[in-house]
Amino acid sequence: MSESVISVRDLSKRFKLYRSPWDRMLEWITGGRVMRHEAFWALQGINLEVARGECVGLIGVNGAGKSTLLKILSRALYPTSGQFDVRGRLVSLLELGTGFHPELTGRQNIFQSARLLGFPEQDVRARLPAILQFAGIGEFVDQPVKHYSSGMFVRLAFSLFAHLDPDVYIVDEALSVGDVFFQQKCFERFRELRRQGCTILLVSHEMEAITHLCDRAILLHGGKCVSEGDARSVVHDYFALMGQSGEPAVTQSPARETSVGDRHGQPPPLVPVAVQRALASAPPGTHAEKGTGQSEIVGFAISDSEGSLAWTTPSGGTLHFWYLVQARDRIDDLNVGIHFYDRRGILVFAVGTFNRGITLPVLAPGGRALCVLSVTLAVQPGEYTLLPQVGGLTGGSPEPGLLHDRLESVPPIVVIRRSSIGPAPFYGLVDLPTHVAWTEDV
Amino acid sequence: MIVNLWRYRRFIARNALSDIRHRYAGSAIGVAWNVLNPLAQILIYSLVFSQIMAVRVHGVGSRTSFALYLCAGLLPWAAFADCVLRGANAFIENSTYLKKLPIPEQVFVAQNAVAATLFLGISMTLLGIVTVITGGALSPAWLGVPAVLALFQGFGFGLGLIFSTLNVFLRDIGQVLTIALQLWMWLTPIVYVEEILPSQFQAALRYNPAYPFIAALHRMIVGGQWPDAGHWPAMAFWACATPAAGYLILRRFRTEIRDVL
Repeated sequence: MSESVISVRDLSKRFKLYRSPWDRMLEWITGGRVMRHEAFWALQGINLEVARGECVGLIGVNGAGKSTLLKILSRALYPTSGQFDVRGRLVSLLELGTGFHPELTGRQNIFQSARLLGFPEQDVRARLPAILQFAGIGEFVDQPVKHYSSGMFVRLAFSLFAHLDPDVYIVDEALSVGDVFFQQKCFERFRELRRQGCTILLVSHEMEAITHLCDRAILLHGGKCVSEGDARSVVHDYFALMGQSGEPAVTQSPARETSVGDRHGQPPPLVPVAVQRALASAPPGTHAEKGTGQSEIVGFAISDSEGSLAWTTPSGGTLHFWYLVQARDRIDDLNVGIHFYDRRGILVFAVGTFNRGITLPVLAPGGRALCVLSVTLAVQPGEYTLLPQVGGLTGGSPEPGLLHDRLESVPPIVVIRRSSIGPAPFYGLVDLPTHVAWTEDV
Repeated sequence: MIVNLWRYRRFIARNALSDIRHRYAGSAIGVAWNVLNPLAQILIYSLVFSQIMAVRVHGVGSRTSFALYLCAGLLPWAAFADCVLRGANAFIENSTYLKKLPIPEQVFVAQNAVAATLFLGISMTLLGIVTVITGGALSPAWLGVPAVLALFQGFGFGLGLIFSTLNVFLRDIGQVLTIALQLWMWLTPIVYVEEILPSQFQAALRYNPAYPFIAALHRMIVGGQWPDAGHWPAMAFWACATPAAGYLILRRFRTEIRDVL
């Protein structure tokens, strides 16, 4: 391992919570003999080494201690115990625009902020053209920032920070700045900074960004580091934690394909070993309360085309969603379906066997069936939540309206960028089939 | 503490200036109010106390002397009170910065003190000009005024620093201070001359830490004499001791301030 830029040793942070200010006074007056506070440990025994040029993701649910750790590293909070050391200059995007004075113009604010962060004025002067070009706010740079739209404000702040060339960057949820084109610029700038050997500590709830940008990730939970290592596996642990599915972290087993019989004589799908194993345990998530329970999803698994369990695919790739369904009553109109929602809660796509005109075999009471939906996720990179469900027809309606069972809080899947080179293959929510024809003969 | 204040001197200066500049933001003549406001105050006092209620200060015969006496104490007191009160709220007001940036805490108290001092400088300059125009003479003792004002503001900064830390934990302190400062002003001979006090009260004045400053200012501006030799050590003591105490308190509770904000 090369020289470490950030090193954190056994770092802990305790907040003292008092029910009233008088309790604090009482503690002071009695010199600590009367203790009235409740200790809240936001961080406990954190160890972290980040080498020069590394990009490390910091993930965890809200309240896991991510921000506290970042604030300590940027010296805005003092740790309760333990040591930390940051070699070189550190810029934290936590501070995005906080040093900006509303009455000063954009240009004046650039200098003021840089001064606050301890960067020499001539450095900033030299970079001013690049900063302004990146921000793309034109004439507004000589207007007081109080007249800026919030988008312009953040763009200017981000541009400044992206051009300061510190040794360490701390980025907290700042990647969701501006429109898609500006975001692309930001990503590009990040890659450039990494090439220049800048160390980055990235906090994001966008797992796509973490897996895409980071070499390594750290999962915090309840102030403790619960998982550390390769970004993908840590993201997986995060989802496992979030869905509380208790799903064991499955190591990639060789995809030996075997067949399982279906008692209704349908052509049996080939079920990879990993999927068989996953289907044997309880499905992830929780069963919806409003299902009738006429049939139930007793096993659910997601695999990639190689037959390994998967929760991520490149945009345009296919994932296989496996359902093990058990009937309570006799079911003669079974519909197996799935919903995909993006992180804004928009239903991106929903499909069921009914939609595709597929009639599943009749299930006898107590009967089981295995069904697999293979979906090509030609959607923009990001996190998608799923609602796997089984149901039937309501009398007379052509739409399937009766819900037997639905799995909720299933850990989401992540669609990642196909490649980091070149432009994104498309913008927007979905990749619609597009054909291009052209001629010079006009 | 001093090292950090020096390191952030440009930040302090710029913020103090922009505070002065934007105190009257939105008004048509903006910055000019910084001059017009104290000028109006001085002129009104002069008019009222020389023409309408002609009060004379014991031992000084001129008609404008009471107005001068009043301004000599009141303008510095206002700046001093500003230092203490706004200083006490400095951490709370600037919590957005403190929560996110590694700026030393005392910078924000200093920034208010500098702004108040600048404003005081303008006011006192105007007072000097008005005195000359209305026929008074500026005695050489005026040269000592900036020094006394600086010490007085140092005292204000120190108190501001002490209370700024405490106020974070017990926000009632800010409210109590507003009342306490008013009471303190009336316990100090600013709007009245000390000779009207009963003798036992006069004797008690030497326990009032603000008294040496006000007395020195009165002697220099109204009386044209140098301050009592005994007042200099007292003033120097308060101007050094309170910032030192404030710094010790800050250092003790520094780690908790940012947790609580």
